[in-house]
Amino acid sequence: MASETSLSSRSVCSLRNMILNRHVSVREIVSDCIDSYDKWQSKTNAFVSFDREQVLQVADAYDRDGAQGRINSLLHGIPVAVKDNYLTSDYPTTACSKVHDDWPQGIDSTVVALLRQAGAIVFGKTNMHEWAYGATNQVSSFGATKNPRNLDHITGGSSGGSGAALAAGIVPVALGSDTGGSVRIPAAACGVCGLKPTFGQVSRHGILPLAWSLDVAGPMARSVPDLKLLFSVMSGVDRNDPITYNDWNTNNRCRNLNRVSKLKIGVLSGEALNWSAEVDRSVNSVVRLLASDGAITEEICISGIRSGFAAWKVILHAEAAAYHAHFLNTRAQAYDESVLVQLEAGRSLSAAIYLKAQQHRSQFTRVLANKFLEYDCVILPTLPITAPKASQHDVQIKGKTITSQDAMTCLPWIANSTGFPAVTIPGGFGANGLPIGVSLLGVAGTDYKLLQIATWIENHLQLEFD
Amino acid sequence: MLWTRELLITYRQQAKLPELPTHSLDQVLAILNSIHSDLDGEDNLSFIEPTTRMVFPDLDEHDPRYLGRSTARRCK
Repeated sequence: MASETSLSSRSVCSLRNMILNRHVSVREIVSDCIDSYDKWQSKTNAFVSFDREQVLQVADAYDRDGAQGRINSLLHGIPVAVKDNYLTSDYPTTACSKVHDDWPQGIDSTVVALLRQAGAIVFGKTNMHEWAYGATNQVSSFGATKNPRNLDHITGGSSGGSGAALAAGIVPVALGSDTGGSVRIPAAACGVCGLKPTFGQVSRHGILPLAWSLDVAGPMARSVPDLKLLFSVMSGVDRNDPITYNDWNTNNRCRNLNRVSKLKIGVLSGEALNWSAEVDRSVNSVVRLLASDGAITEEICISGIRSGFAAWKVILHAEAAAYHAHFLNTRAQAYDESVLVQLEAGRSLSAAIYLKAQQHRSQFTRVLANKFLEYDCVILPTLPITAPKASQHDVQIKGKTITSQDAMTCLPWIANSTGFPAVTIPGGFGANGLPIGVSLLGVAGTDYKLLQIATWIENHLQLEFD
Repeated sequence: MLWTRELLITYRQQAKLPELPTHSLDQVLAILNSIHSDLDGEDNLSFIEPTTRMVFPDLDEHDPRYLGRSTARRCK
Protein backbone atom coordinates (compact mmCIF):
# COMPACT_ATOMS: atom_id res chain seq x y z
CA MET A 1 0.00 0.00 0.00
CA ALA A 2 1.11 3.59 -0.52
CA SER A 3 2.53 5.25 2.56
CA GLU A 4 0.31 7.58 4.57
CA THR A 5 2.35 10.57 3.48
CA SER A 6 2.37 9.79 -0.24
CA LEU A 7 0.32 12.07 -2.44
CA SER A 8 -1.29 9.19 -4.32
CA SER A 9 -2.81 7.87 -1.09
CA ARG A 10 -4.54 11.17 -0.28
CA SER A 11 -8.19 11.94 -0.96
CA VAL A 12 -9.30 14.01 -3.94
CA CYS A 13 -10.61 16.69 -1.58
CA SER A 14 -7.21 16.95 0.11
CA LEU A 15 -5.29 16.96 -3.20
CA ARG A 16 -7.58 19.63 -4.59
CA ASN A 17 -6.92 21.89 -1.59
CA MET A 18 -3.18 21.33 -1.94
CA ILE A 19 -3.31 22.28 -5.63
CA LEU A 20 -5.47 25.35 -4.96
CA ASN A 21 -3.10 26.54 -2.22
CA ARG A 22 -0.08 25.81 -4.44
CA HIS A 23 1.36 23.39 -1.91
CA VAL A 24 1.83 20.84 -4.64
CA SER A 25 1.89 20.73 -8.44
CA VAL A 26 -0.16 18.39 -10.60
CA ARG A 27 3.13 16.95 -11.92
CA GLU A 28 4.16 16.05 -8.36
CA ILE A 29 0.84 14.25 -7.79
CA VAL A 30 1.04 12.38 -11.10
CA SER A 31 4.71 11.50 -10.52
CA ASP A 32 3.78 10.05 -7.13
CA CYS A 33 1.02 7.98 -8.78
CA ILE A 34 3.59 6.75 -11.33
CA ASP A 35 5.93 5.71 -8.49
CA SER A 36 3.09 3.68 -6.95
CA TYR A 37 2.28 2.22 -10.37
CA ASP A 38 5.91 1.11 -10.77
CA LYS A 39 5.86 -0.47 -7.33
CA TRP A 40 2.53 -2.31 -7.69
CA GLN A 41 1.78 -3.00 -11.35
CA SER A 42 3.95 -6.10 -11.67
CA LYS A 43 2.48 -7.49 -8.43
CA THR A 44 -1.21 -6.76 -9.07
CA ASN A 45 -1.63 -6.46 -12.88
CA ALA A 46 -4.14 -3.69 -12.16
CA PHE A 47 -3.58 -1.80 -15.43
CA VAL A 48 -3.76 -3.02 -19.03
CA SER A 49 -2.64 0.18 -20.75
CA PHE A 50 -0.74 3.16 -19.43
CA ASP A 51 1.31 5.94 -21.06
CA ARG A 52 3.49 7.74 -18.51
CA GLU A 53 4.77 10.38 -20.96
CA GLN A 54 1.24 11.29 -21.91
CA VAL A 55 -0.05 11.67 -18.33
CA LEU A 56 2.98 13.83 -17.45
CA GLN A 57 2.33 16.05 -20.47
CA VAL A 58 -1.29 16.53 -19.42
CA ALA A 59 -0.15 17.22 -15.85
CA ASP A 60 2.22 19.94 -17.10
CA ALA A 61 -0.61 21.51 -19.11
CA TYR A 62 -2.73 21.69 -15.92
CA ASP A 63 0.20 23.24 -14.04
CA ARG A 64 0.51 25.91 -16.75
CA ASP A 65 -3.22 26.63 -16.38
CA GLY A 66 -2.78 26.79 -12.63
CA ALA A 67 0.12 29.24 -12.92
CA GLN A 68 -2.24 31.52 -14.86
CA GLY A 69 -4.91 31.22 -12.16
CA ARG A 70 -7.17 28.89 -14.13
CA ILE A 71 -8.14 26.31 -11.49
CA ASN A 72 -11.91 26.35 -11.68
CA SER A 73 -12.76 22.74 -12.27
CA LEU A 74 -13.71 20.23 -9.57
CA LEU A 75 -11.13 17.61 -10.57
CA HIS A 76 -8.28 19.85 -11.74
CA GLY A 77 -5.28 17.56 -12.31
CA ILE A 78 -6.78 14.56 -10.44
CA PRO A 79 -5.66 11.18 -11.89
CA VAL A 80 -8.54 8.77 -12.56
CA ALA A 81 -8.10 5.10 -13.52
CA VAL A 82 -10.65 3.96 -16.14
CA LYS A 83 -12.00 0.43 -16.59
CA ASP A 84 -11.14 -1.03 -19.97
CA ASN A 85 -14.75 -1.13 -21.20
CA TYR A 86 -15.08 2.71 -21.31
CA LEU A 87 -14.14 4.15 -24.71
CA THR A 88 -11.26 6.60 -24.31
CA SER A 89 -9.83 8.82 -27.04
CA ASP A 90 -6.22 8.22 -26.01
CA TYR A 91 -6.14 4.53 -25.08
CA PRO A 92 -7.41 1.38 -26.81
CA THR A 93 -10.53 -0.26 -25.38
CA THR A 94 -10.68 -4.06 -25.37
CA ALA A 95 -12.94 -5.16 -22.47
CA CYS A 96 -9.90 -7.38 -21.78
CA SER A 97 -10.99 -9.72 -24.57
CA LYS A 98 -9.33 -11.00 -27.73
CA VAL A 99 -12.67 -10.90 -29.52
CA HIS A 100 -12.40 -7.37 -30.78
CA ASP A 101 -9.18 -5.39 -30.89
CA ASP A 102 -10.22 -2.53 -33.15
CA TRP A 103 -12.82 -0.58 -31.18
CA PRO A 104 -13.18 2.99 -32.42
CA GLN A 105 -10.37 5.12 -31.08
CA GLY A 106 -10.43 8.88 -30.71
CA ILE A 107 -13.79 8.75 -28.93
CA ASP A 108 -14.53 9.30 -25.25
CA SER A 109 -17.50 7.70 -23.52
CA THR A 110 -19.82 10.33 -22.01
CA VAL A 111 -18.56 9.70 -18.47
CA VAL A 112 -14.89 10.01 -19.46
CA ALA A 113 -15.69 13.20 -21.40
CA LEU A 114 -17.44 14.65 -18.32
CA LEU A 115 -14.48 13.78 -16.09
CA ARG A 116 -12.03 15.37 -18.51
CA GLN A 117 -14.19 18.51 -18.70
CA ALA A 118 -13.99 18.62 -14.89
CA GLY A 119 -10.18 18.52 -15.11
CA ALA A 120 -9.47 14.81 -14.48
CA ILE A 121 -6.44 13.10 -16.03
CA VAL A 122 -7.09 9.62 -17.44
CA PHE A 123 -4.36 7.58 -15.73
CA GLY A 124 -4.51 4.46 -17.92
CA LYS A 125 -7.05 1.68 -18.39
CA THR A 126 -7.65 -0.96 -15.74
CA ASN A 127 -7.91 -4.73 -15.96
CA MET A 128 -11.33 -6.36 -15.86
CA HIS A 129 -13.01 -9.75 -16.13
CA GLU A 130 -13.39 -10.47 -19.86
CA TRP A 131 -16.39 -8.49 -21.15
CA ALA A 132 -17.34 -7.82 -17.50
CA TYR A 133 -18.87 -11.30 -17.70
CA GLY A 134 -17.63 -12.64 -14.37
CA ALA A 135 -16.99 -11.48 -10.83
CA THR A 136 -13.55 -12.89 -10.01
CA ASN A 137 -11.22 -11.01 -12.42
CA GLN A 138 -9.40 -14.28 -12.98
CA VAL A 139 -10.34 -14.29 -16.68
CA SER A 140 -8.78 -11.52 -18.77
CA SER A 141 -6.80 -11.47 -22.00
CA PHE A 142 -4.15 -9.58 -20.00
CA GLY A 143 -4.04 -12.10 -17.14
CA ALA A 144 -5.67 -12.15 -13.71
CA THR A 145 -5.49 -9.27 -11.22
CA LYS A 146 -4.18 -9.83 -7.70
CA ASN A 147 -5.49 -8.29 -4.51
CA PRO A 148 -2.98 -5.80 -3.03
CA ARG A 149 -4.26 -6.66 0.48
CA ASN A 150 -3.02 -10.23 -0.08
CA LEU A 151 -1.62 -11.23 -3.46
CA ASP A 152 -2.81 -14.85 -3.11
CA HIS A 153 -6.42 -13.66 -3.15
CA ILE A 154 -8.69 -12.41 -5.92
CA THR A 155 -9.69 -8.79 -6.32
CA GLY A 156 -13.24 -9.69 -7.26
CA GLY A 157 -14.63 -8.22 -10.43
CA SER A 158 -15.44 -7.31 -12.94
CA SER A 159 -13.85 -3.91 -12.13
CA GLY A 160 -10.99 -5.70 -10.35
CA GLY A 161 -8.20 -3.58 -11.82
CA SER A 162 -9.85 -0.41 -10.53
CA GLY A 163 -10.24 -1.96 -7.07
CA ALA A 164 -6.60 -3.06 -7.02
CA ALA A 165 -5.37 0.35 -8.27
CA LEU A 166 -7.20 2.09 -5.42
CA ALA A 167 -6.19 -0.36 -2.70
CA ALA A 168 -2.54 -0.16 -3.79
CA GLY A 169 -2.71 3.64 -3.63
CA ILE A 170 -1.87 4.13 -7.31
CA VAL A 171 -4.77 6.54 -7.94
CA PRO A 172 -7.26 8.33 -5.67
CA VAL A 173 -10.36 7.53 -7.76
CA ALA A 174 -11.40 5.10 -10.49
CA LEU A 175 -14.28 4.09 -12.73
CA GLY A 176 -16.11 0.79 -12.81
CA SER A 177 -19.28 -0.63 -14.30
CA ASP A 178 -21.85 -2.75 -12.47
CA THR A 179 -24.24 -5.35 -13.92
CA GLY A 180 -24.43 -7.67 -10.92
CA GLY A 181 -22.06 -6.03 -8.46
CA SER A 182 -18.99 -5.34 -10.59
CA VAL A 183 -18.24 -2.01 -8.85
CA ARG A 184 -19.13 -3.17 -5.33
CA ILE A 185 -17.57 -6.65 -5.41
CA PRO A 186 -13.95 -5.53 -6.06
CA ALA A 187 -14.45 -2.49 -3.82
CA ALA A 188 -15.45 -4.79 -0.93
CA ALA A 189 -12.80 -7.41 -1.71
CA CYS A 190 -10.03 -4.78 -1.89
CA GLY A 191 -11.22 -2.63 1.04
CA VAL A 192 -12.29 0.51 -0.81
CA CYS A 193 -15.62 2.25 -1.53
CA GLY A 194 -17.91 1.90 -4.54
CA LEU A 195 -21.25 3.27 -5.66
CA LYS A 196 -23.70 1.52 -7.96
CA PRO A 197 -25.95 4.47 -8.84
CA THR A 198 -29.69 4.25 -9.50
CA PHE A 199 -30.27 2.82 -13.00
CA GLY A 200 -30.54 5.86 -15.24
CA GLN A 201 -28.51 8.33 -13.16
CA VAL A 202 -25.30 7.92 -15.19
CA SER A 203 -24.92 7.63 -18.97
CA ARG A 204 -23.65 4.34 -20.43
CA HIS A 205 -22.92 5.92 -23.81
CA GLY A 206 -19.52 4.68 -24.98
CA ILE A 207 -19.29 1.85 -22.45
CA LEU A 208 -19.18 -1.65 -23.96
CA PRO A 209 -22.37 -3.33 -22.73
CA LEU A 210 -22.89 -6.60 -20.93
CA ALA A 211 -26.67 -6.55 -20.31
CA TRP A 212 -28.38 -3.28 -21.18
CA SER A 213 -31.28 -3.49 -18.72
CA LEU A 214 -28.84 -4.09 -15.82
CA ASP A 215 -25.65 -2.17 -16.71
CA VAL A 216 -24.74 0.92 -14.66
CA ALA A 217 -21.54 3.01 -14.60
CA GLY A 218 -20.22 3.82 -11.13
CA PRO A 219 -17.41 5.55 -9.24
CA MET A 220 -14.87 3.86 -6.95
CA ALA A 221 -12.70 5.63 -4.38
CA ARG A 222 -10.89 5.24 -1.07
CA SER A 223 -13.36 7.48 0.78
CA VAL A 224 -17.07 8.22 0.55
CA PRO A 225 -16.67 12.01 -0.01
CA ASP A 226 -14.53 11.21 -3.07
CA LEU A 227 -17.23 8.83 -4.34
CA LYS A 228 -19.77 11.62 -3.93
CA LEU A 229 -17.57 14.10 -5.77
CA LEU A 230 -17.00 11.75 -8.71
CA PHE A 231 -20.69 10.82 -8.84
CA SER A 232 -21.72 14.49 -8.93
CA VAL A 233 -19.52 14.95 -12.03
CA MET A 234 -20.58 11.70 -13.76
CA SER A 235 -24.36 11.83 -13.32
CA GLY A 236 -26.93 13.69 -15.37
CA VAL A 237 -29.01 13.58 -18.53
CA ASP A 238 -27.24 12.50 -21.73
CA ARG A 239 -29.10 12.63 -25.04
CA ASN A 240 -27.03 9.65 -26.18
CA ASP A 241 -28.44 7.40 -23.45
CA PRO A 242 -32.24 7.69 -23.13
CA ILE A 243 -32.32 5.90 -19.76
CA THR A 244 -30.86 9.05 -18.24
CA TYR A 245 -34.11 10.91 -19.01
CA ASN A 246 -35.61 9.52 -15.80
CA ASP A 247 -35.97 12.31 -13.28
CA TRP A 248 -35.31 10.87 -9.84
CA ASN A 249 -35.46 14.30 -8.25
CA THR A 250 -32.21 13.56 -6.51
CA ASN A 251 -31.19 16.08 -3.92
CA ASN A 252 -27.44 16.52 -4.24
CA ARG A 253 -27.27 19.49 -1.91
CA CYS A 254 -27.45 17.35 1.22
CA ARG A 255 -25.18 18.38 4.05
CA ASN A 256 -23.09 16.05 6.15
CA LEU A 257 -25.04 14.22 8.83
CA ASN A 258 -24.04 15.07 12.38
CA ARG A 259 -26.45 12.59 13.93
CA VAL A 260 -28.30 9.54 12.70
CA SER A 261 -30.78 9.58 15.56
CA LYS A 262 -33.79 10.26 13.36
CA LEU A 263 -32.97 7.59 10.81
CA LYS A 264 -34.78 4.29 10.39
CA ILE A 265 -32.43 1.57 9.18
CA GLY A 266 -33.51 -1.82 7.84
CA VAL A 267 -31.23 -4.82 8.29
CA LEU A 268 -31.78 -7.30 5.48
CA SER A 269 -32.37 -10.97 6.17
CA GLY A 270 -34.07 -13.83 4.38
CA GLU A 271 -34.19 -17.58 4.18
CA ALA A 272 -31.97 -17.72 1.10
CA LEU A 273 -29.54 -15.03 2.31
CA ASN A 274 -26.44 -16.56 3.86
CA TRP A 275 -23.12 -15.15 4.92
CA SER A 276 -20.26 -16.14 7.20
CA ALA A 277 -20.22 -15.50 10.95
CA GLU A 278 -17.36 -12.96 10.65
CA VAL A 279 -19.26 -11.04 7.96
CA ASP A 280 -22.32 -11.08 10.21
CA ARG A 281 -20.24 -9.60 13.06
CA SER A 282 -19.03 -6.73 10.83
CA VAL A 283 -22.56 -5.89 9.69
CA ASN A 284 -23.80 -6.03 13.27
CA SER A 285 -21.02 -3.73 14.46
CA VAL A 286 -22.16 -1.13 11.91
CA VAL A 287 -25.80 -1.62 12.96
CA ARG A 288 -24.83 -1.21 16.65
CA LEU A 289 -22.85 1.91 15.79
CA LEU A 290 -25.91 3.46 14.14
CA ALA A 291 -28.17 2.36 17.00
CA SER A 292 -25.78 3.82 19.58
CA ASP A 293 -26.40 7.24 18.04
CA GLY A 294 -30.15 6.76 18.23
CA ALA A 295 -31.01 5.26 14.82
CA ILE A 296 -33.97 2.88 14.83
CA THR A 297 -32.85 -0.46 13.41
CA GLU A 298 -35.24 -3.20 12.31
CA GLU A 299 -34.80 -6.53 10.60
CA ILE A 300 -36.42 -6.83 7.17
CA CYS A 301 -37.11 -10.31 5.89
CA ILE A 302 -37.57 -10.74 2.15
CA SER A 303 -38.57 -13.75 0.09
CA GLY A 304 -38.11 -14.55 -3.57
CA ILE A 305 -34.32 -14.39 -3.29
CA ARG A 306 -33.45 -17.70 -4.93
CA SER A 307 -35.83 -17.23 -7.85
CA GLY A 308 -34.87 -13.55 -8.08
CA PHE A 309 -31.20 -14.50 -8.42
CA ALA A 310 -32.15 -16.98 -11.16
CA ALA A 311 -34.24 -14.32 -12.93
CA TRP A 312 -31.26 -11.95 -12.84
CA LYS A 313 -29.10 -14.67 -14.41
CA VAL A 314 -31.66 -15.29 -17.17
CA ILE A 315 -31.75 -11.58 -18.03
CA LEU A 316 -27.94 -11.31 -17.86
CA HIS A 317 -27.26 -14.33 -20.09
CA ALA A 318 -30.05 -13.60 -22.61
CA GLU A 319 -29.11 -9.94 -23.09
CA ALA A 320 -25.38 -10.72 -23.27
CA ALA A 321 -26.04 -13.44 -25.88
CA ALA A 322 -28.14 -11.01 -27.92
CA TYR A 323 -25.36 -8.40 -27.88
CA HIS A 324 -22.66 -10.96 -28.71
CA ALA A 325 -24.64 -12.82 -31.43
CA HIS A 326 -22.44 -11.52 -34.25
CA PHE A 327 -19.14 -12.29 -32.49
CA LEU A 328 -20.42 -15.73 -31.45
CA ASN A 329 -20.99 -16.53 -35.10
CA THR A 330 -17.72 -15.09 -36.33
CA ARG A 331 -15.11 -15.21 -33.53
CA ALA A 332 -16.32 -17.72 -30.95
CA GLN A 333 -12.84 -19.19 -30.57
CA ALA A 334 -11.54 -15.85 -29.28
CA TYR A 335 -13.63 -16.00 -26.09
CA ASP A 336 -12.37 -17.61 -22.92
CA GLU A 337 -14.29 -20.85 -22.47
CA SER A 338 -15.90 -19.73 -19.20
CA VAL A 339 -17.35 -16.68 -20.98
CA LEU A 340 -18.34 -18.67 -24.06
CA VAL A 341 -20.41 -21.24 -22.14
CA GLN A 342 -22.39 -18.46 -20.45
CA LEU A 343 -23.10 -16.87 -23.84
CA GLU A 344 -24.09 -20.24 -25.27
CA ALA A 345 -26.43 -20.79 -22.31
CA GLY A 346 -27.93 -17.37 -23.09
CA ARG A 347 -28.51 -18.43 -26.69
CA SER A 348 -30.46 -21.43 -25.45
CA LEU A 349 -32.93 -19.44 -23.33
CA SER A 350 -36.37 -18.96 -24.84
CA ALA A 351 -38.19 -15.66 -25.15
CA ALA A 352 -40.83 -17.03 -22.76
CA ILE A 353 -38.23 -17.65 -20.05
CA TYR A 354 -36.71 -14.20 -20.56
CA LEU A 355 -40.13 -12.54 -20.25
CA LYS A 356 -40.96 -14.61 -17.18
CA ALA A 357 -37.71 -13.44 -15.62
CA GLN A 358 -38.52 -9.82 -16.43
CA GLN A 359 -41.99 -10.24 -14.93
CA HIS A 360 -40.49 -11.72 -11.77
CA ARG A 361 -38.07 -8.81 -11.69
CA SER A 362 -40.80 -6.15 -11.87
CA GLN A 363 -42.85 -7.77 -9.13
CA PHE A 364 -39.80 -8.33 -6.92
CA THR A 365 -38.85 -4.67 -7.41
CA ARG A 366 -42.33 -3.46 -6.48
CA VAL A 367 -42.46 -5.57 -3.31
CA LEU A 368 -38.98 -4.44 -2.27
CA ALA A 369 -39.74 -0.78 -3.01
CA ASN A 370 -42.86 -0.94 -0.84
CA LYS A 371 -40.81 -2.35 2.04
CA PHE A 372 -37.75 -0.16 1.57
CA LEU A 373 -39.81 3.07 1.42
CA GLU A 374 -40.31 2.73 5.18
CA TYR A 375 -36.56 3.05 5.76
CA ASP A 376 -33.83 5.59 5.16
CA CYS A 377 -31.59 2.78 4.02
CA VAL A 378 -31.22 -0.99 4.25
CA ILE A 379 -27.98 -2.63 5.38
CA LEU A 380 -26.58 -5.93 4.15
CA PRO A 381 -23.11 -7.39 3.56
CA THR A 382 -21.63 -6.66 0.14
CA LEU A 383 -20.18 -10.18 -0.06
CA PRO A 384 -20.96 -13.24 2.08
CA ILE A 385 -17.23 -13.95 2.64
CA THR A 386 -13.87 -12.21 2.31
CA ALA A 387 -12.05 -12.45 -1.05
CA PRO A 388 -11.38 -16.14 -1.85
CA LYS A 389 -7.93 -17.39 -2.85
CA ALA A 390 -7.22 -17.33 -6.58
CA SER A 391 -6.95 -21.11 -6.55
CA GLN A 392 -10.46 -21.58 -5.07
CA HIS A 393 -13.12 -22.45 -7.63
CA ASP A 394 -15.66 -23.22 -4.91
CA VAL A 395 -16.18 -21.76 -1.44
CA GLN A 396 -18.10 -22.81 1.67
CA ILE A 397 -20.73 -20.60 3.25
CA LYS A 398 -22.35 -22.02 6.39
CA GLY A 399 -21.70 -25.55 5.21
CA LYS A 400 -22.98 -25.02 1.67
CA THR A 401 -20.60 -25.23 -1.29
CA ILE A 402 -21.05 -22.68 -4.06
CA THR A 403 -18.80 -21.38 -6.84
CA SER A 404 -16.65 -18.32 -6.13
CA GLN A 405 -18.53 -16.63 -8.98
CA ASP A 406 -21.93 -17.18 -7.28
CA ALA A 407 -20.46 -16.17 -3.91
CA MET A 408 -19.45 -12.83 -5.37
CA THR A 409 -22.82 -12.05 -7.01
CA CYS A 410 -25.36 -13.70 -4.66
CA LEU A 411 -26.02 -10.44 -2.73
CA PRO A 412 -25.09 -7.56 -5.08
CA TRP A 413 -27.51 -8.62 -7.88
CA ILE A 414 -30.45 -7.24 -5.87
CA ALA A 415 -29.47 -3.64 -6.66
CA ASN A 416 -29.12 -4.37 -10.38
CA SER A 417 -32.37 -6.27 -10.71
CA THR A 418 -34.32 -3.52 -8.91
CA GLY A 419 -32.32 -0.60 -10.32
CA PHE A 420 -31.82 0.67 -6.73
CA PRO A 421 -28.64 2.49 -5.68
CA ALA A 422 -26.13 0.75 -3.40
CA VAL A 423 -22.91 1.93 -1.81
CA THR A 424 -20.26 -0.30 -0.27
CA ILE A 425 -17.73 0.75 2.35
CA PRO A 426 -15.20 -1.23 4.39
CA GLY A 427 -16.95 -2.44 7.55
CA GLY A 428 -14.37 -4.68 9.22
CA PHE A 429 -11.82 -7.42 8.67
CA GLY A 430 -11.94 -11.18 8.47
CA ALA A 431 -9.71 -13.52 10.44
CA ASN A 432 -7.39 -13.63 7.41
CA GLY A 433 -6.94 -9.84 7.62
CA LEU A 434 -8.90 -9.20 4.45
CA PRO A 435 -11.54 -6.47 4.37
CA ILE A 436 -15.28 -7.03 4.73
CA GLY A 437 -17.61 -4.71 2.82
CA VAL A 438 -20.91 -3.43 4.17
CA SER A 439 -23.56 -2.21 1.73
CA LEU A 440 -26.29 0.39 2.08
CA LEU A 441 -29.23 -0.05 -0.28
CA GLY A 442 -32.09 2.39 -0.89
CA VAL A 443 -34.99 2.95 -3.25
CA ALA A 444 -34.39 4.60 -6.64
CA GLY A 445 -33.10 8.17 -6.45
CA THR A 446 -31.68 7.98 -2.92
CA ASP A 447 -28.04 7.88 -4.05
CA TYR A 448 -26.97 11.01 -2.17
CA LYS A 449 -28.84 9.99 0.95
CA LEU A 450 -26.95 6.67 0.98
CA LEU A 451 -23.66 8.53 0.50
CA GLN A 452 -24.57 10.82 3.40
CA ILE A 453 -25.21 7.88 5.75
CA ALA A 454 -22.10 6.06 4.45
CA THR A 455 -20.00 9.15 5.23
CA TRP A 456 -21.29 9.16 8.81
CA ILE A 457 -20.46 5.45 9.21
CA GLU A 458 -17.01 5.91 7.65
CA ASN A 459 -16.25 8.82 10.00
CA HIS A 460 -17.39 6.96 13.11
CA LEU A 461 -16.05 3.49 12.30
CA GLN A 462 -12.54 4.76 11.53
CA LEU A 463 -11.07 1.50 10.26
CA GLU A 464 -7.32 1.36 9.93
CA PHE A 465 -5.66 -0.71 7.22
CA ASP A 466 -2.15 -2.07 7.80
CA MET B 1 -38.60 -28.03 -17.61
CA LEU B 2 -35.08 -29.33 -17.11
CA TRP B 3 -32.74 -29.79 -20.07
CA THR B 4 -31.13 -33.08 -20.99
CA ARG B 5 -27.98 -33.28 -23.08
CA GLU B 6 -29.93 -34.83 -25.95
CA LEU B 7 -32.54 -32.08 -25.84
CA LEU B 8 -29.87 -29.39 -25.85
CA ILE B 9 -28.02 -30.99 -28.78
CA THR B 10 -31.28 -31.26 -30.75
CA TYR B 11 -32.22 -27.68 -29.93
CA ARG B 12 -28.84 -26.38 -31.02
CA GLN B 13 -28.97 -28.38 -34.25
CA GLN B 14 -32.43 -27.02 -35.07
CA ALA B 15 -31.34 -23.48 -34.25
CA LYS B 16 -28.27 -24.02 -36.48
CA LEU B 17 -25.93 -23.21 -33.61
CA PRO B 18 -22.37 -24.55 -33.81
CA GLU B 19 -21.50 -27.86 -32.22
CA LEU B 20 -19.86 -27.56 -28.81
CA PRO B 21 -17.24 -29.85 -27.28
CA THR B 22 -18.73 -32.21 -24.69
CA HIS B 23 -17.20 -30.44 -21.68
CA SER B 24 -18.56 -27.07 -22.87
CA LEU B 25 -21.97 -28.58 -23.54
CA ASP B 26 -22.03 -29.98 -20.01
CA GLN B 27 -21.24 -26.56 -18.59
CA VAL B 28 -24.03 -24.96 -20.64
CA LEU B 29 -26.37 -27.69 -19.41
CA ALA B 30 -25.39 -27.05 -15.78
CA ILE B 31 -26.01 -23.30 -16.13
CA LEU B 32 -29.42 -23.80 -17.76
CA ASN B 33 -30.63 -26.41 -15.30
CA SER B 34 -29.50 -24.43 -12.28
CA ILE B 35 -31.38 -21.37 -13.57
CA HIS B 36 -34.55 -23.30 -14.44
CA SER B 37 -34.80 -25.13 -11.14
CA ASP B 38 -34.27 -21.93 -9.12
CA LEU B 39 -36.62 -19.84 -11.28
CA ASP B 40 -39.37 -22.40 -10.80
CA GLY B 41 -38.36 -23.21 -7.23
CA GLU B 42 -40.43 -23.02 -4.08
CA ASP B 43 -39.81 -19.36 -3.40
CA ASN B 44 -40.80 -18.30 -6.91
CA LEU B 45 -43.06 -15.27 -6.53
CA SER B 46 -44.24 -16.71 -3.25
CA PHE B 47 -45.03 -13.17 -2.17
CA ILE B 48 -47.66 -12.81 -4.92
CA GLU B 49 -50.97 -14.67 -4.71
CA PRO B 50 -50.97 -17.19 -7.61
CA THR B 51 -54.32 -16.28 -9.23
CA THR B 52 -53.38 -12.62 -9.22
CA ARG B 53 -50.32 -13.50 -11.23
CA MET B 54 -52.33 -15.39 -13.79
CA VAL B 55 -55.12 -12.84 -14.23
CA PHE B 56 -53.19 -9.60 -13.80
CA PRO B 57 -49.57 -10.54 -14.40
CA ASP B 58 -48.23 -7.03 -13.94
CA LEU B 59 -50.17 -6.11 -10.81
CA ASP B 60 -49.64 -7.07 -7.21
CA GLU B 61 -52.04 -7.17 -4.32
CA HIS B 62 -51.13 -3.65 -3.15
CA ASP B 63 -51.92 -2.08 -6.51
CA PRO B 64 -55.21 -0.15 -6.37
CA ARG B 65 -56.08 -1.32 -9.87
CA TYR B 66 -55.82 -4.91 -8.70
CA LEU B 67 -58.02 -4.22 -5.68
CA GLY B 68 -60.64 -2.60 -7.94
CA ARG B 69 -60.73 -5.54 -10.31
CA SER B 70 -60.78 -7.95 -7.42
CA THR B 71 -63.80 -6.22 -5.85
CA ALA B 72 -65.58 -6.18 -9.19
CA ARG B 73 -65.07 -9.91 -9.54
CA ARG B 74 -66.42 -10.54 -6.08
CA CYS B 75 -69.54 -8.41 -6.77
CA LYS B 76 -70.49 -10.68 -9.63
